[in-house]
Amino acid sequence: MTSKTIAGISTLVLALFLLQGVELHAAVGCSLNDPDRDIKRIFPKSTGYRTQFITIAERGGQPLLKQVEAKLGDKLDPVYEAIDVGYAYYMVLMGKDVIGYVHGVNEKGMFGGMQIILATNLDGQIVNMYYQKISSPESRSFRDKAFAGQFVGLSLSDFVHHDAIQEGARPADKVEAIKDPSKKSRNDFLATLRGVKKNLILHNIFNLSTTNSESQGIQKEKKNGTKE
Amino acid sequence: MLTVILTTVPCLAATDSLYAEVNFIGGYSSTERWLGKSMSQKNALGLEYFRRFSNEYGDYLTCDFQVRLAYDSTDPRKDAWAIEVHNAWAEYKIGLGKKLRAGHFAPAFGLEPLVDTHGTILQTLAPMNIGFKNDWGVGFSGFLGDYDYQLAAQIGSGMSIRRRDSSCLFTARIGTPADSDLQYGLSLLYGETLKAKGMGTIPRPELAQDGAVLKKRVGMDAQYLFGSYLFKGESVYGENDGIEVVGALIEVDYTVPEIQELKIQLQGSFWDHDLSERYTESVLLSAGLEYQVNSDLALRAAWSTDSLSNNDMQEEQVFLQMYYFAPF
Repeated sequence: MTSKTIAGISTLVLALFLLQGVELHAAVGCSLNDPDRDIKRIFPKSTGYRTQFITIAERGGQPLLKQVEAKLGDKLDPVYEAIDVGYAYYMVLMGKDVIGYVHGVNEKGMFGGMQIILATNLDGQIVNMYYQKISSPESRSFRDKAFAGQFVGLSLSDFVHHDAIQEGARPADKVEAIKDPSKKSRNDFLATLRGVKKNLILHNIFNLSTTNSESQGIQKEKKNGTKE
Repeated sequence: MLTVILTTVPCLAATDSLYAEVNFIGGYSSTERWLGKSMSQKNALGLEYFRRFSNEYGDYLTCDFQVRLAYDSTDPRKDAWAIEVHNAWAEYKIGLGKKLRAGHFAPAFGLEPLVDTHGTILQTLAPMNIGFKNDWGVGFSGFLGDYDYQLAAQIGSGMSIRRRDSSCLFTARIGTPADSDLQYGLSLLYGETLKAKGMGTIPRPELAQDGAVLKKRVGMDAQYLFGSYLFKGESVYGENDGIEVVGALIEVDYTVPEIQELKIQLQGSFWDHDLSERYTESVLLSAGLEYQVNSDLALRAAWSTDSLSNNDMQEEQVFLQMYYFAPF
């Protein structure tokens, strides 16, 4: 087989791919290394899951990116949190019924990257939080179940509530109550809070109704008489 | 098999990813002067197509196809171009935690199935130990309590599809899950493998030797993430046609905390292809730099020195690589 023939075959293969017109997704931000194991552990009754990769670019582009940044209260990193990074969502099934979600994000830590995974119920409340990867000399403290357990039951509304409070008493601020498990890695703790919040924001935008958890959070703020 | 699955299972949804790959590499050797390829990387254009099929009960089939049009600067001009098929597999889920795979994929041995070396200059022991990184066949994976396991039955030919001299490759690995700071595994290998002169799939490269080599191996591997440091290691012991062989590799990757796009790598590997003889070992020491310019582009540089004890021949190599991998 000559070089020309091989080059011709390659061009043809490339053209066939391009002409196929399928819906395409970008580089995956944080997918599970072993979704079967993790999902079975967190949702013992699950019988399967459906995976979906979603990017900010395809769901809303730059305006959505700005919206996410505004909710997060911070800029997204152009390398780790690029607009075309695909976020993996695992819709957990029991038979045909959806019983929850598992989703992860990359976050920049003090010593390297961390991968923060959340499992949430259908209301967007965290039922499990763990690090798939954490580059920290104090990783044992961060991976401790007592620390991760403080996130269980939280939803985006709790972070909205946390952001809304600025001074004075902090009634029912569950995020403020989370204790830093480390001795010298405060910034990794703050990165974790940022990563969990980012994860919940994206999950709410991509998978949950906008009238769901986030608006509930705003309603809670009003009930508590705090700032919106 | 893939055709049967695709036509008999109702497909409700499919997610696709198509990526383009551009690999530019060049280097200089103290013995061969200018180089247009490293041990596992050539100048190449590539594609990767990934597709996942789901129905109302969840995901049931995943496919991955990686192909490169590669230029081998050391071959005569008419033979320099080749199509390399790297990953080319379909994986069917037969229950939560049980997956059946068919196609071209990494044997279940050592670090290679865990570490992504598709675009990197530094490699695992697999090319030295087995003779290739991927092979054609079927595999099964699952988990047993706190451990993951993989089994594979392949044809022992590596990149090209052929059987000769009853060639075959059976591998098995059991190890800890991939999300803990410390991961380790134990592997076994038995097979008769072929050794090709090149890495092409089409056209098929000539064989470096006529018959298959009977290989038996036991191996251990480990990875440990501590702060900015990732330690990787693997060791193997076994036989090639009854001759004892042993090998080991250790690597340290350091992510610079202040510039996390920058990674510094040090690697040392050792291989002795005949334990009964003296001066049959070789040592390869490498140092690498990797800079992730953005989510699509990585720049890499590596220096290595290869020492063969039998004639004290020493070769030093330096490589520069630009690796682009991005969605269409």
